[in-house]
Amino acid sequence: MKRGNIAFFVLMKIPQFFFAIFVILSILFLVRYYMSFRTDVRATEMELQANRLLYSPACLAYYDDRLQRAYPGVVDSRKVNTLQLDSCIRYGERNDFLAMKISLTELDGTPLKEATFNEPGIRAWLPRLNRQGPGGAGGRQMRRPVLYRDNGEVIPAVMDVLAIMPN
Amino acid sequence: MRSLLKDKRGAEEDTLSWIIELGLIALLFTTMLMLVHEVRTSTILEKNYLAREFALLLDTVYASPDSVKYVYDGDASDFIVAFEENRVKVREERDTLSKEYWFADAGEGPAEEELTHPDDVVFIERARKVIVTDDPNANPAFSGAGRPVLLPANVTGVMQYICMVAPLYNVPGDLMLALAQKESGLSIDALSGDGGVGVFQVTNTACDERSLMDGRVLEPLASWTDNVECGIQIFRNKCLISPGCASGAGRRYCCRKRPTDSWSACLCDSDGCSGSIMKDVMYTGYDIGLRGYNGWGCSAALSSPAPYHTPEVTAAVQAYVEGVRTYEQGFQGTCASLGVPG
Repeated sequence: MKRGNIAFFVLMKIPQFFFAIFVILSILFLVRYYMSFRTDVRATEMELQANRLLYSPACLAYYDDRLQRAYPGVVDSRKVNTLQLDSCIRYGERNDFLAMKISLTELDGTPLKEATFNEPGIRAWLPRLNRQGPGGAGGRQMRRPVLYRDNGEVIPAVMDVLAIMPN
Repeated sequence: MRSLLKDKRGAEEDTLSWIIELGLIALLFTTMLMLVHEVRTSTILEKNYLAREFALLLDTVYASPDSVKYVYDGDASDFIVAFEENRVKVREERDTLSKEYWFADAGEGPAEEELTHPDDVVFIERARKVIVTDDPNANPAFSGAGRPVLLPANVTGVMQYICMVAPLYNVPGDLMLALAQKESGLSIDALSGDGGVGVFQVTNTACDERSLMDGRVLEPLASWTDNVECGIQIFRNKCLISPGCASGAGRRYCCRKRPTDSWSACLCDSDGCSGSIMKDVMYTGYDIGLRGYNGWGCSAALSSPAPYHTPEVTAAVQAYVEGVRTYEQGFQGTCASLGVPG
């Protein structure tokens, strides 16, 4: 076979070569596209921290000093304030991760008390709630039946928690 | 048909075609093998997963209503797991960057530890603090010494904390602000010659009762938050001594002075001596607690070192309650304005 013919033949194979490269890259892209290295646990974290409010005596759970035990699910009215919440769940000096808005109401709907965790976060992310992509935020609305303890009186109540995390 | 029709030149082209196609197939195959190898050896997912797993576990442990010890039964022995600055960081030795995820502590400082190829990861929670270790038999003692502060140590943070704690003891927040102002100027670093330490100038190394916030043993000399709560607790207890602040009854504060005595010899009780009455007041309500907080004496204690035995100090001692009440006027509504109705 003449050298010129070989060169011509190889030239003719160039489209085939590019097609093969295209196939390889497509396979790589598809494989990588469906291979996820990320694990989104935001929903779990929001649930967890909402439950933490009720379980931890450092948050809202009533603590009996004489018995030295906490009562998960019994909300101490004295603890329902922003300062208490901000001090019981601390993500360090800056909290760019989670904000919560809680409201307690009696079973008939009469409001009892409200408080926010990470007030700046609520102000920043609430307007962007449920928007996709960077700058948006995801949220989770949760409702927990609780006992609200105020001045020794225990009132059956409902605690609504709106948790928000930025995307 | 093609093989029947091909001549010598056609056979050469066919061979070359096969060689090129085999080369392309080899390229494709090699690339796929490299991809499989990369996926097989990559630990990005594992590191991401472990960082989140440990962070959520820590959050759960911090949420515990009581002390808890939890031994993680997964396998993290291929990695270096660091807990620092409210982050769980997972990496391999060859990595320069870690995969990380955040966790929230409970106000007493985050868990800080680095575990290298841990066979076990153990989380132990007590009194809002968590220790992470790789020793499943660990039973660490939790010391309050050096405990991180709950809030930024600025005056606003101190005031907010006072306003938050006061209602737990059923005492007015604004009055407690005034008491703290009188005692230390709301300074967490205040030290006095008579041994008073911190915001409320507490001298006790331990308080009578545990914290109403979380049940911890209070250490007023080690932590300014404990100092605040301990001071308020002491005030409340002074209020409970008969006649209590809520009783409506009064308690007499009477300071007499013999004309020939030095200032340090003021006597508080009517001792039958003649001489001028320096101060004679019937205290009621919270004034009883305030007087008790500073002591019912009329002058600086005789055991106090110089320069406490001066007319100025004695006058300040006797005017203590009035001084706090003056400050209180300036603090009216402060707790409410700080968002903590004290």
